Amino acid sequence: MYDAYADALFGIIFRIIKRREEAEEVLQTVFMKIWDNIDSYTDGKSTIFTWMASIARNAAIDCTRSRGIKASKVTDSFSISEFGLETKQAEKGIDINKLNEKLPEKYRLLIEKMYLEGYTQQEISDAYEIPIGTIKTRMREAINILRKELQDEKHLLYFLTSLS
Amino acid sequence: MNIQEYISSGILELYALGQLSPSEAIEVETMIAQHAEIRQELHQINLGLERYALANSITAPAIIKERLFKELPPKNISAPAVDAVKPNNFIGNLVLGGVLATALILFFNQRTKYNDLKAKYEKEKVFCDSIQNVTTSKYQFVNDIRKEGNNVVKIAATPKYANTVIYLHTNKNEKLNYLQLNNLPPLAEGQAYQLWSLQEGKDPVPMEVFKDADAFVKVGYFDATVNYAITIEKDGGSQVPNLENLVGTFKAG
Repeated sequence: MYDAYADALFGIIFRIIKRREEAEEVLQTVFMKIWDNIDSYTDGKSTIFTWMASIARNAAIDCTRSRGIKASKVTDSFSISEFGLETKQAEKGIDINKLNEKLPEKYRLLIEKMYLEGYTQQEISDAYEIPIGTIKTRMREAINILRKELQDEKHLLYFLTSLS
Repeated sequence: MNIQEYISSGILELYALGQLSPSEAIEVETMIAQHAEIRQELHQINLGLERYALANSITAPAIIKERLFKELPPKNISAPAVDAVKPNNFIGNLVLGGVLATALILFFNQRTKYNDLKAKYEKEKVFCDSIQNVTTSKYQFVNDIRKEGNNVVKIAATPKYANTVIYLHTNKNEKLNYLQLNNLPPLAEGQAYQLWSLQEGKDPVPMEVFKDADAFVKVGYFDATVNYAITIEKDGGSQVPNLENLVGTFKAG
């Protein structure tokens, strides 16, 4: 489970905290919580990753509050390379650049801010002056695009498997 | 509520992102529990988000994994091992129970078969014994009538029973009598045939009572008999012959 999901969870944690040392501590804490609370995971409510991602996001937000880490502005841009870190998409077989091409900017912005960086829809609404209703609609559109890409990958995988 | 409208509202996406208030989340969870279609939709949303998170992975330093595995509580590590014994015992008990149950079923099944076969054997044995007895008696009959001095006397049937055919095999030397019953008149309910010994100056002497219409019957022998007679009497025989039902007579010797 650690090998499968640690990097994805670290991606969420780091984007919220934006400090390497604290993010590493939180990642370790998150897996300890997962270890202790795995019995409380309910299969019908979410996937195991969604459940773990929720723990990671809350732990990262708690860290920023408890450590007095100054929250960055919602509108601040963010680059992984600035911190000497690297994305792991190549190993996962998922091309983030290709995925981002499929996601229009207005959708990608929302999903990054809300899902990866942990901002609320109200914070995004205030920062970008987008109505709450529009945020809800765009978020659905954004996730629909991700789902469609996932389906296309499945079809491609099936096609390649059938050739072998 | 229209399910499709609910799905299209975007509330499931906000639930998956953890953006709903506790009361709103409970409402969504109620809908999830009640509608498989909503449950499936939420699952697809979660898979889409998972895919996006995986695409945005950041390589976690290897040291975190090392530290984590050092700090995991020992009791939690050993817990699965302890628990693992239970399923094994359970499976062992289950297998043992299954074997015992199967053995019991086989035992009772075999015992039932044994009892059935035993009953069948007893029935066949009775049948075989009866055949053997008949065969022995016929064999004895054939041997006896082949002995020197054997005479065969045909019944002198009365007009009432004119079609009756009975032979008396009698041997003065061996003091043996056999009745060969070929054709006898039918009996009514509660009737039987009875043999009589008619002797000079004496009342008829009652002899064997029989009901077989087609058989060999070994009967008694009286030296003083002048004639033998057959009548139809009540079942069980009589002490005095009913002459109205006199079937016929044999001349002795």
